[in-house]
Amino acid sequence: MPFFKVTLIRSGIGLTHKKLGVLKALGLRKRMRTVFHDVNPAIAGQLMKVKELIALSTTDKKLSRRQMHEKRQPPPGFVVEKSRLVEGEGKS
Amino acid sequence: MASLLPLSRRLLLRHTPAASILSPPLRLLPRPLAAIRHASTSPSQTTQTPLPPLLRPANPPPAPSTTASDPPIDLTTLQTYHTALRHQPPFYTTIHIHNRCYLVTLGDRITLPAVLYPPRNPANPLNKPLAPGDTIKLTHASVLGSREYTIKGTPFIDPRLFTCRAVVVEVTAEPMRKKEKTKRRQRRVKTVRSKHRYTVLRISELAVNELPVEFTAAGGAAGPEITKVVKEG
Repeated sequence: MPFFKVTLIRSGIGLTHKKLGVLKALGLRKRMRTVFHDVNPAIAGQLMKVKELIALSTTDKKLSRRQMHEKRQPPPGFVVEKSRLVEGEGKS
Repeated sequence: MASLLPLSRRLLLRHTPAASILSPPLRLLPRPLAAIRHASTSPSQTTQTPLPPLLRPANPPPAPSTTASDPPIDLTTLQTYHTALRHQPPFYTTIHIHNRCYLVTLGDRITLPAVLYPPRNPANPLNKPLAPGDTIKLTHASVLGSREYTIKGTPFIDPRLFTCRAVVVEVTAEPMRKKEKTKRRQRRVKTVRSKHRYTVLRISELAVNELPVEFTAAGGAAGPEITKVVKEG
């Protein structure tokens, strides 16, 4: 199931209350906030209202904020082979 | 893939004087490393003429006669230099832990400016930090080398090429630091305390593995392979 991936690139400061309301309805509170929405005409219409402010793409997977954060992290670079504290730690 | 240095040595390995004298079956035997080292020190041999085609062995791995545009040459050169590297301990490597790089060799103690938490693992729901005595395997290395040979990763070397393990020696902290912060025209003094925690690792094992069989066929980037190994552990 596809989703809209919407990122607010430019702030809505100074825009009309109607457009600010659209941003609020989309869940775009701050710049660089990314939200996922279903693909349907209602959302598409909302996005068209604020199309000058956002970056838009479609994805197949909806990510939570935590998942998006973890995707940005560098690899830890190690795996635990033997641990005294935790039983059944990864034995690769 | 790994880019190997230096280029001139690549030519030298192929056209050592011993290689031209020996008959093809003898050349397939492992050449003494001393011959390679000595050959690298004498500049006159760089201008030696290439071998006649008859002397070249039938098997491609020891001495590839292909051009640089041929795709398998990277893997073949990797195999050649990997063998040379394996027989030239001690090794050094640059490991990456949470995007910080540390150039280490066997027996080194490295101090990490943090308490190390293991990667998320369903078997470890509490996600406790590493404690002294724990063994970790380092999977991300960008450089692996010896005195004369170096494998460089783009950005990381395939983790199957090497084994690097470390033992957590100590989980410690610095002495508490106190700093007094004041503002002008005010009596109030704010004391800021800080006490950073450190993890000390000792590199307990650093070895170059034998070239995996599947590695000769696969030529892609090391990225997906590294993630696969991380998930296994």
